[in-house]
Amino acid sequence: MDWGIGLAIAGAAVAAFLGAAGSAWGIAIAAEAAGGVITEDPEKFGRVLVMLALPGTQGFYGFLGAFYIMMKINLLGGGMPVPFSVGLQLFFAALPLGVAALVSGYYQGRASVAGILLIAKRPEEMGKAIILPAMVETYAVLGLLATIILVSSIKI
Amino acid sequence: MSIADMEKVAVIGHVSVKEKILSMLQKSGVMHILDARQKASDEPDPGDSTVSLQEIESAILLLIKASGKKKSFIENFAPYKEPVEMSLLEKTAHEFDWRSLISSIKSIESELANLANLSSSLRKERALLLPWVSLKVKLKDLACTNKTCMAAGAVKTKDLEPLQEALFLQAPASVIQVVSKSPDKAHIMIFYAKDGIYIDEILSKFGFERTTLPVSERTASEELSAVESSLKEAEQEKERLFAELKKCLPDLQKLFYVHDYFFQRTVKKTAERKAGVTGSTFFLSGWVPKHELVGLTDKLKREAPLCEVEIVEPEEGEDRPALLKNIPAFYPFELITRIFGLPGKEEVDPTGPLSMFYLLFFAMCLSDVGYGIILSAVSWYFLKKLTLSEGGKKLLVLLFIGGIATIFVGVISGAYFSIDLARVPAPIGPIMIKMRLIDPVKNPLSVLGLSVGLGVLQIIYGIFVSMYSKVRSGRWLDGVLDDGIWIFFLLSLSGYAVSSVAAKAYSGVLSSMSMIGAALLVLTQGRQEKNIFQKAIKGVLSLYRTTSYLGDALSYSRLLALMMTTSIIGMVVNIIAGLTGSVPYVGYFIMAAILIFGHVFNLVISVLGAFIHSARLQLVEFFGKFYEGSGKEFRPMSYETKYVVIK
Repeated sequence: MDWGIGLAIAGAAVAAFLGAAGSAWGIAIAAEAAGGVITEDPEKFGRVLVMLALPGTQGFYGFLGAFYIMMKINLLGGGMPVPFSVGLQLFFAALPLGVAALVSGYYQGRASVAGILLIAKRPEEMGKAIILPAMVETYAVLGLLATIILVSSIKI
Repeated sequence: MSIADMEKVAVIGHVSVKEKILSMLQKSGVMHILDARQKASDEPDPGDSTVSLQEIESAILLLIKASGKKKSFIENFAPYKEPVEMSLLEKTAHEFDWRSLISSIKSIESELANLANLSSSLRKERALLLPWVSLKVKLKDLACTNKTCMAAGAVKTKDLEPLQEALFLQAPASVIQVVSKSPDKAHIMIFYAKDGIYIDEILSKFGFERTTLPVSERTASEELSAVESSLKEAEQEKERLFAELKKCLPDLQKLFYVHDYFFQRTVKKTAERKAGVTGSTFFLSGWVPKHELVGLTDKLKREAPLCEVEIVEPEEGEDRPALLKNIPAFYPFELITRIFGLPGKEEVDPTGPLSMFYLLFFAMCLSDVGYGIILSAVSWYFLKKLTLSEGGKKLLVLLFIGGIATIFVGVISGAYFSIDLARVPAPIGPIMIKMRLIDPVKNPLSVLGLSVGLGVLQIIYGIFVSMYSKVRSGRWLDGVLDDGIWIFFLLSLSGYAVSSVAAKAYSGVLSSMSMIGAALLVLTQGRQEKNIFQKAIKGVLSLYRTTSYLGDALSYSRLLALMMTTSIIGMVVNIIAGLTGSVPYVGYFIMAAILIFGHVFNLVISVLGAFIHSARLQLVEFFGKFYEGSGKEFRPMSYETKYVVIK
């Protein structure tokens, strides 16, 4: 049994599904608030849609991290032999991204809710409302960066 | 740098020209009016008692609803407003009989509301009757007799049998008739002897919900068809009313004019209430940009000789309202400054300093020639096609030049819709590869270094701007000792960091320069303190700020992350599309669909990310060095419209 490649794939999988789960969670929270605002004022749909799309990036970061690991072990090109220790390294390298994306996705959703409520009352302040959730996203970006730097410096 | 100079002025005149002066001020739109009354009164705005803007607006909304036109997604952001002359608005408001139109629309509106009530109660009745249609008796016959009683209602289907059993055991003198049964609810009638056991107790134990059927000469099904025909009538009536509304549609445009005409009057009234008045004079106080002042004064005096415009000294500590006035190249970046807040009295306008960095960061995050071209083309198209507010125009111009910059960065990073350049045929492919200087996917560390390096550059520039603004306001000692030394220290420190990797020969010199810088900071940063110990402690502690600068610089690493996101998601789209090419017959269609959908999607989320994160770097990392944004916005009294634009 080839544990090395299995662990590498497990790392890619963890990055992808935790990121996706975080985004789904965050967007769902924001969408609930958005629904309420749209009931009162359907014209705000466009603005509110932008706000609730913001926690969506974690899913992409997770996907990106997964893809980066797949490229590292050339999985799409048929795969290469991966020693057990390297597989383990890749798995751990995926964790910063996966966990940071999951948690920040949820909390960015909550920050988006705050922004949506802000838009409900003062639609002209959209610019400020967008910046609030972006502050949370910083840490998903840092998780992604940590994973990318770790993966790119692992030697196969 | 680029904030308009303001003069505080007082406009004093005879009450006979008040109306005229206010109209002229509104038309010119250059005066920010302050409250000139001694004491701001708490009484609510009396508004315009003759006209209710709300009534006009609700009529307009109803007509728009009747027209059945749906707003497009774009129109939600930038509704079309027809440009119109003020005189046309005035003429329409005076000549067009909008009052009778509004009152007829209003009566239709109330009829519609009545109909809606009627239909909803009819619908309730229908729901009530529906389970009982199989009954063949007249509804009024389902009443109690001398000896027996009847209860109609519903129980859960699963409770039906237990109920039957319980009744059989405890109230033998009763009969259950099941009228209709669905998987979860059964509608039943129970006949029982009046003097028998108290049946309600048993019934409530099984969750029986009693229904009160209408008393009627007809059977339930006859009653139901009557209800349905009235529902149909109500529906027809509604259609007729909407058809009547549609007849008013040609006048919708005029209602727009009327609404916005009276809207201007309300704006003027609000300004008028801020004027100070005596028996025969009035007094307006406010701010006017310096470059507009002469023109305004001339015009006012020419048209209304009974008035005087005077420049007055602002009160102690009073801040002018801020009006940004940038050269066209910086103009769209005012959008970013406005997100944060406008410059206060002593502050410089950060728009110019941030613009080049913002543009570069935006382009780096997007970094694809193809996306740059599409973004520019689309924003150009919308700029030409839509009538936009000031903010919307700035956004589109920003996206347009952002797209152009993206094309250049895209060439440097070798990204053309994320196509694998090794597979592009010669001679184009090799040229593209030759022009590629950075590759975030293959070599992320060098791009990381570049991102953080740009960050250091912008942070130092931010401190430089802080020094400039201090020196400009006469505090040159603070400027040089605080900011100047920090710039020297950070420059030599980052120079040392670079040289220790790239050019070892210089690292000795740079390291001693950093030492000197640190020593200078320790010596100067405690100069505000009184005794020598506090001076020393404060001086040493000031070095701690280096870590916060380090954190700021690392924040720029997001540029690499966003650059990678764009290119890798683009790559994935290409790979998935490539897999479908071999599907027989329709392969190429599927491939094209995936390519178009995928890249458009990637473009949209990447532009959103590029916009937000580049803005954040300005607002948090860059502004933190020198900018507070404590100013108030310059809001001149002008035409404020909802449906049209006054030319």
